Amino acid sequence: MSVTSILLDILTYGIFTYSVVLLSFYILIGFLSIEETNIYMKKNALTNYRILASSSFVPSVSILAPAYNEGATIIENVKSLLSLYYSSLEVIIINDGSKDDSLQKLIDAYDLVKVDFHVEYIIATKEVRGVYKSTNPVYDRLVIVDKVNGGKGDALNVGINISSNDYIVCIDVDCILEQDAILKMVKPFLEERERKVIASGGVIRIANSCEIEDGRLVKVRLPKNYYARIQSLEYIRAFLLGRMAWTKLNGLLLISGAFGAFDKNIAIKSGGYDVSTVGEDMELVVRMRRYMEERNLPYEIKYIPDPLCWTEAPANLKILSRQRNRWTRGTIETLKYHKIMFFNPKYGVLGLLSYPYWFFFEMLAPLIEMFGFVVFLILAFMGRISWDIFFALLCFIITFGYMYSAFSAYMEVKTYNMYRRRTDMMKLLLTALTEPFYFHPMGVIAAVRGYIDIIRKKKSWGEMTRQGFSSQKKES
Amino acid sequence: MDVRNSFFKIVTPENLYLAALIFCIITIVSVSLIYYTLYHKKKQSKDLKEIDNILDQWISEALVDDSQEFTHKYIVSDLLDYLYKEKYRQFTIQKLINSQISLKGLAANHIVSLYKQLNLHHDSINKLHSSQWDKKAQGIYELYMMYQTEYKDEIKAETNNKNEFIRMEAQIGVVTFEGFRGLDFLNTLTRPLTEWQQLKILDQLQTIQFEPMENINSWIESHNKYVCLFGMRLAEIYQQYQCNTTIQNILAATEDEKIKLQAVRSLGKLALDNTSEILKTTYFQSSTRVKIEVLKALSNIGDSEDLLFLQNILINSKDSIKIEATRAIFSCNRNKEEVIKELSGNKHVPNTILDQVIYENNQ
Repeated sequence: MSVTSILLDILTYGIFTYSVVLLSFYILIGFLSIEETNIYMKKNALTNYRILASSSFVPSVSILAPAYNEGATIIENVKSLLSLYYSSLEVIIINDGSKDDSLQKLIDAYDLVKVDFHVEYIIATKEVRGVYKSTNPVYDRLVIVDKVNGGKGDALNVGINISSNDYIVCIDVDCILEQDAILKMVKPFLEERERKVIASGGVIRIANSCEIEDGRLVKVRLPKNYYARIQSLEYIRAFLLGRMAWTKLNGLLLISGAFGAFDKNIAIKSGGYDVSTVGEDMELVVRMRRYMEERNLPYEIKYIPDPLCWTEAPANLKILSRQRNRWTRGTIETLKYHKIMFFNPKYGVLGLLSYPYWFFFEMLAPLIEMFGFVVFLILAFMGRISWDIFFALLCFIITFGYMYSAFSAYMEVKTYNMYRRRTDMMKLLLTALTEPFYFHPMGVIAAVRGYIDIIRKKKSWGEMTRQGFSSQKKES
Repeated sequence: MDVRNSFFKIVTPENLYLAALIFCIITIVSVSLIYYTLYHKKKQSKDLKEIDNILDQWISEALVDDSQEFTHKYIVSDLLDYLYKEKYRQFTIQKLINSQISLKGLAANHIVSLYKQLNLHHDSINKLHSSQWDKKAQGIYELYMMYQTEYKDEIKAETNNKNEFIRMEAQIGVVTFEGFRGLDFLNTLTRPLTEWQQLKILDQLQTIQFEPMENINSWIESHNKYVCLFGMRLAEIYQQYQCNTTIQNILAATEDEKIKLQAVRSLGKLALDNTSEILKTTYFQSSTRVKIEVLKALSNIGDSEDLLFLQNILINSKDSIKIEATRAIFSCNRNKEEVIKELSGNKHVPNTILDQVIYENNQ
């Protein structure tokens, strides 16, 4: 056998084995998520959240929402947060050194005055310039913090330092939350028994094209925009299947920065958000888990499958690519910081399953795909491709993808059924057909760019322009 | 070579196409199921809307009718056409429960009568006797929400069930039926009573006339940590001063942070003459969280005799403790001007802390 043949064999077997393991994981995830979601729905069928949210016995919760140059939408966003249904809530908006007029708009709209407030820098952060509270008792839940710009992680750390409650809910300020979202997120902490619940995550859904009035979601619609629509499917797969399955295994590594609740004490003990990474949301969860594992403290992280948080997804390729680029960098940085856990039995499921899965199938996947594609081009040019097996493999992998998407869409219809119109579902499924040929390769290219940026030591978030919900309402 | 050969024997184009065909079939099945489910749900939602309208109409009439025989006059014949389906019966039960929650008096009684008249209680009873935990829990829920007191004993027997959801519903059930006397399940509870469940029970108790809890001290002394915690919480909320000594004993004996926190919190609301001293003793053997809770309690119950203690702990403490201690000093001393003067010169109290506490006191 020639060296080329041996290399080709290694490549063929390697990529095939990789694919088989990945597809097996997907199948396992599918089964586990059915069970976990089913149990969740049965367990919560008898709870009237509306009544309990107004109870005086619910624990106090602080919402932390960093804002940077959100002047265009900040008033509506804060209004939405203040209208949440929960009796004991503190809403902390952290103005992360915005260059626009966000702060002044808030001061004017909510009758804010600067108050004397001692900031204890339990977690080291950039300087806090001032804390503002409203003179109007209607807004007594509201706390605005003005600080020197330091990034999202730094802003959230300031929020942790300032919050007066044991539970914190970290959200993106422009997210629209369901009215009973806070109680649902806090519930897992209150159900804690032998294992400490250190965090809970909520499902994020795409709000593009939905009808939003006064900061509330009034009608769910499938996004009209192609990119947003395909992300709807992607989010259903990721949240309804992926994260529920990892919750079942107690191996969840990521709670989206857009909506997650944390035990403040453990977050502080773990050191708070890392300001040196663009994947601060995943990094915090991994570090909190590591903190518990290293001290042999029994713990768990929960996930709520109810659609609780609605966010505006990137609606053009440029912004979407920036987002995917950042996600890739965040994953690489987080896994690099915590490489000690890689196949380390000391970390249990975290070290033996979650970390390796993320390493091989989230972090390396775009590189392997890109590498495979380049090798394919070279071999095709050299005339070394067995076309009959190539087309069979292509067909195999594409149909598997379609099956997985159709299954996740079915799970959505069976459980929460947010897109009730048959035409919407048809559009969603048709969009899925294009995924392997356009959306997925674009995602791979963006992720590879993330690798390049990591090598170039690029740390920026990248501009994430949003359309805003008020303009969407007019459109719809 | 063997590996290579066997690989190419398995991974043949034929086998790959076969697998792809299977995936296609599953995809088609999934898509068919999606459309079937959508169709089914749409059809169902039409019927459910109709049931909803019928019941809304009936309830609005029930609200204004003060006759005891109301339900007999208005037999909901249209509704009966739908009740052959279990799903629709379930919907009707839930609708009646939701309406009943917001109603009181005769109108609420009418709803319970309709529930029985439509024989919906048979569904609930069947669920109560089901071997599936979710059905059983639901059956219990429906029976207590509809005040079916004849099933009280059966429900009471489930208050220590090993399934937490059956147990939870049964516990709320007995509280609904018996009020504060229903809390006697705490005497024998050996399983966890989570904070969530405590919240639900407390919420239920709020709607009920208070009655003395004779066994509350034994609950606080329970070996079941959750019962102990809940007992202290009840003592705090319902101002059960007779529990003060028991809670003090628990506080002195425990190493569990949660129990310590709750004990301090409860004592802060149930103070007797010696409580401040007990809390101050606890302070030095506790974590930061408990220390802060002690200071909060002293803010409530402390007086000028506690000032020296509070001033001493300002030295070399964390800022979070200094803030609480400063708040407590303000609360314990009636002469605010004097406090401000004294603390302004205290090098252990940063000006920002003092300014914050002054601001809070002025609010």
